[in-house]
Amino acid sequence: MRYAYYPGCSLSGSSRECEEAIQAVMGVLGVKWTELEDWNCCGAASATGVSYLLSLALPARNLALAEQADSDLVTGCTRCYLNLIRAMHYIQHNANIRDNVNAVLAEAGVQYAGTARLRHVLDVIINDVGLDVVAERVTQPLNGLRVAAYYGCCQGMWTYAQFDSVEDPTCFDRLLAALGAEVVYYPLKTSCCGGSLSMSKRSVGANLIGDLLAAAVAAGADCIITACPLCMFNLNSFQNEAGKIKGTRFHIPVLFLAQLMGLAFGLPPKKLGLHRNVVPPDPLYRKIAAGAAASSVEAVASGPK
Amino acid sequence: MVGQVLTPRKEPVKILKDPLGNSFEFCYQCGLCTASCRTAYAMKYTPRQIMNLLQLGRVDEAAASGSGLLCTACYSCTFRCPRGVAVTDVMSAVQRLNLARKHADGDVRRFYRSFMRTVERHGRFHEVEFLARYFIPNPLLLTAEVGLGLKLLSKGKISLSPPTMKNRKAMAAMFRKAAEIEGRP
Amino acid sequence: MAEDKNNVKIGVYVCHCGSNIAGTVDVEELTRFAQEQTAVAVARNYKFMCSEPGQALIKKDIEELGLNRVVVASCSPRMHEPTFRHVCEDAGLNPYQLDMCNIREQCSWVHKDGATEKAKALVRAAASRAYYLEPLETRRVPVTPAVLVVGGGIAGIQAALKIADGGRKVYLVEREPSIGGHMIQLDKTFPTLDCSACITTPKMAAANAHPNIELMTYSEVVNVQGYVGNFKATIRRKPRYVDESLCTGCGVCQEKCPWKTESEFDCGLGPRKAIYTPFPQAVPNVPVIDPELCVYIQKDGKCGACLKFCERGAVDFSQTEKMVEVEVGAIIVATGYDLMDPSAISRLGYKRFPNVITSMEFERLCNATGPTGGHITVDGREPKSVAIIHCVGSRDQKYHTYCSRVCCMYALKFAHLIQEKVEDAKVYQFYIDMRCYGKGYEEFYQRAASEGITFIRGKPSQVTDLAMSEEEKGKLVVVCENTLVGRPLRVPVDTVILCPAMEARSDAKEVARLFNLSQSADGFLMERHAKLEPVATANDGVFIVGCAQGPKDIPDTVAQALAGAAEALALIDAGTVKLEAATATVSEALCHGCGRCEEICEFHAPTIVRRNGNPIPVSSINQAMCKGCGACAAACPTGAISIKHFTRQQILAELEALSGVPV
Repeated sequence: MRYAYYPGCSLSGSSRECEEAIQAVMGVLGVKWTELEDWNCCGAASATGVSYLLSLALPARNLALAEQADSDLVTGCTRCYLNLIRAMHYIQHNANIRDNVNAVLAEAGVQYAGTARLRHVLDVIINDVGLDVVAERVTQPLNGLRVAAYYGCCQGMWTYAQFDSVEDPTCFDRLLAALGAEVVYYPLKTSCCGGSLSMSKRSVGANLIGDLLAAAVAAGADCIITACPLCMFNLNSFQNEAGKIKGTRFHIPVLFLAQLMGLAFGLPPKKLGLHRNVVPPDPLYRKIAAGAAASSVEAVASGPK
Repeated sequence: MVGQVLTPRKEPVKILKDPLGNSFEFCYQCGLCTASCRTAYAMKYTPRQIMNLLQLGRVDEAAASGSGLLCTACYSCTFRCPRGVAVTDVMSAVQRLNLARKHADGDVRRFYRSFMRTVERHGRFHEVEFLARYFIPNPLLLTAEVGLGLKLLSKGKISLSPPTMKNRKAMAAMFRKAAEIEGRP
Repeated sequence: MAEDKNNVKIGVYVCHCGSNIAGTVDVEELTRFAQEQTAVAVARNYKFMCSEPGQALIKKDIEELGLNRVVVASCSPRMHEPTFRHVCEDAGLNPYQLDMCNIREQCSWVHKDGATEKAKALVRAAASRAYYLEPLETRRVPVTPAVLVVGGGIAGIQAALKIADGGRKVYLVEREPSIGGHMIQLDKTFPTLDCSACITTPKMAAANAHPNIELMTYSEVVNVQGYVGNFKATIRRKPRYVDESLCTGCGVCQEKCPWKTESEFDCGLGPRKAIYTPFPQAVPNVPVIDPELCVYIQKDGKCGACLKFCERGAVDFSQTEKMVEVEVGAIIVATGYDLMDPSAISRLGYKRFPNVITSMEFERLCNATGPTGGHITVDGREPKSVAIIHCVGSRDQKYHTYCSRVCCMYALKFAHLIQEKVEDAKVYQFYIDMRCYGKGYEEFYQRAASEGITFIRGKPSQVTDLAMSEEEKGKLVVVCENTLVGRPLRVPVDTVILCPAMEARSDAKEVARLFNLSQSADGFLMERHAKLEPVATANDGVFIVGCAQGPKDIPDTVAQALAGAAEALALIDAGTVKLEAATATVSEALCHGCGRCEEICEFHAPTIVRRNGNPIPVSSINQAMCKGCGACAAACPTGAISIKHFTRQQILAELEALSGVPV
């Protein structure tokens, strides 16, 4: 299985800590990939505002490139994943769209044949690598760290439909259990964070973010984890604004899933980009260490077997 | 005013050339889309009401309402719709109309335009160029974002020279072709 | 072939069918064309050939012109072949010397251009085939004067009673230990608020007592053979381990049995024992022993409490499964429905929150014989606010596209019952449309509205326990859009009742196969004609009634049950049934007994036999069982089998005329 990795603009830019963590974690898991040669922006949430055709053609070019490289296209950004799989789906089911997209792609010297295989990093970790291997690589179990698993929205109808459940996904929960964390009850786990509204309409975006943060706090979570760089950006960067709307103060660390995995694998925080997280995750290091201390104390107390 | 006069239409309403934009025809107004929508509370017309407006041919009213701009494309509505309406795609088409017909204010239109302009020129989202394009015409916007900007800068999250595509000419050509096919200026 | 082919006289009749045909096909030109065809003595056209004057036209020509073939160019033979065959018979012509061609469904209704040309080709083809048609004998066989009714719910019970009252024998087979179906699980019924048990138990008792009804409960039909008027069914009678002739229904065994499990009848909300009757008014009032749960059976003789305590010695562990064969003339399938499991729609919280229940579960809670003795108690307390959500899985592309018909009405009923039983209760109805179409239904809706129920038009997106305000703490919140105002709405309640879709039984496919029926696209068993033949099926002699055919309320179920009874009685009272004349025949000279026909026949008509003195076996086709489907003729490698009324000569003549290419 050859993987062509598609980071997308977010992971290369404002969410580069997520990218750092993904690379580090995949290294530990032994997944080898090459970056997709000369990839382009998938269009994010802005392409649909300007052009229906571009919203499909931009992702399609990356699919075409992956076809040429005869590789599975793997992306770590859920918005990219959504745009890519949406393009695949609509192109497959509508001949008119297919022709128009390929006419646009012809200008870039490529064609989309419809044979591309698209994967999400999570899917690769859970299904190709396997949770057994993940559990084996854990050198620093999270020892009951209370985590709110925020699956996000875009990951629903398109992503989780492929390898989990849309309304009630559990793949994060299983992954986190393998890392030794405790997953808290989080009913807003697939509720939208507002996406780019945090920038284009702050009042609405911050309100949605506030709901998510409040639910995590109410559930007693130590941190929130997410697998989407935009959710990551939103939940981290607007805690003050959200607090103002909800009449409270939020200060809860929000980590990218790969970052938490990296910690459990014993990787140094700097390698996982954790120093870049807007809300400093330092309290978590103490909690994890304390958990380890407690469990080793228990082990001593119960004596040798 | 006594009541609205409904002008009978001869053909089903078609919204731009978007093949999925017309599935609003199936809507039976149950409201599940709106009930699932996280931003409906802030919309002048909820997604269900937008479907109704379109069924009645009141396209411009739907476009002008700004509801399309509040859609985050989370697809919850489309996933759950009992009539199989592609609600997200209809909202997306309405969003495009809103921007194309200049209903939204200049700042909002410039947001989308600036984003896509950087992609057109660099093949990838170019943060600094985007910030320049978006904020310079209205520097007041910048003052609201100073706090956020400093936070991000201090964590090294704003890349001053992000990587760009090699085959940038291809991008520009693709944009031109798409505009040609869609009949956009 | 005694007839002189030079003496063939064909009459061609072109129907206008109002404007259905004449609007697209030039019927005058077609008639002129028909007149020119070989052996056509007369060609006419008329507005409605199937009407009395139209039929009279044909009859007159047969009598006066001595026609010996009739071709009718009109609608599909599925509509009126029997009509025109009758006309021929009346006029003294053998009905199998009629040929029809479909110039409506297959011509005028599907083409705009070229319809007339196509109609001409079809008429020429029909006339060419008609030329070679032979008179065929229709035979009749006697009908067994008994009926098998499968399913002992209200539909089955009602059908059985009516047939029995008509003086005919009925076998009523039910797979549960008692008859009563879903209806006996209900509390009160809309719109009259009759107590369901009060109206059902008398019928159940009558069915048990009727001299003409043989009741077989805890039994299933496992095989059906034969054909209309002459069915043979095999019924598996599961062992109850209780002797029905000795049991008095005293109930002591149930009291003493130490082994418990969840009661299926109470939707798992209450217990039942290993030896049990599903509910107190069970008919027959004889318990069964659940072999999976019974320790005596599972652990080779341990326990045996029921044996000890039964004063009549009715418990009998030596019982075994018995196969019973019955012969009947008609079969009525009344197997009912299943309620969809709404946990598929996880966002509504069924099985996640104990306070989210289904409608049937609520019926059991309301019912005095239910697990809470008729007190509305959910998760240990009495709910003061209840949300009732309509259309859970109905009218939904992702689950069932159809409307389940009864939910709007029973939701109103629930609201009324809750307000009656719980002081100061607040009930909220979440609907999309209110479907109150029946007699007294709209009035019931009006009455409910006057009782202080809140109606909210909006399909809820979720039921959540995440409180977003003080009043939501500790409650379940129903999230929807109040569509009449156009704003999102959150309603905190104690309990949520879901109205799940009525579905076809989970084994509908097996039932269909067993009785040779089709299923409609929605999974329910398929009727022969949506409007004109609602209980008949494509399999002559087998009828479907009640919810097995589609979701419906009790009045419609009973009406269908009576319709099914009428169909069965008509069949039996006719005394004989006409056999299909277009059957397969074997030319034994060409047959070498390969057996392919026997293999391929769905109706078990051919058997390979040895004739006296002939070393080569041959196929012998039972004319009574043959349906003339033609599969054997197609499969026969030597061409020994031909189908009467569809001979090679007839079909090739038709093809030649259609294609213009000589064959």
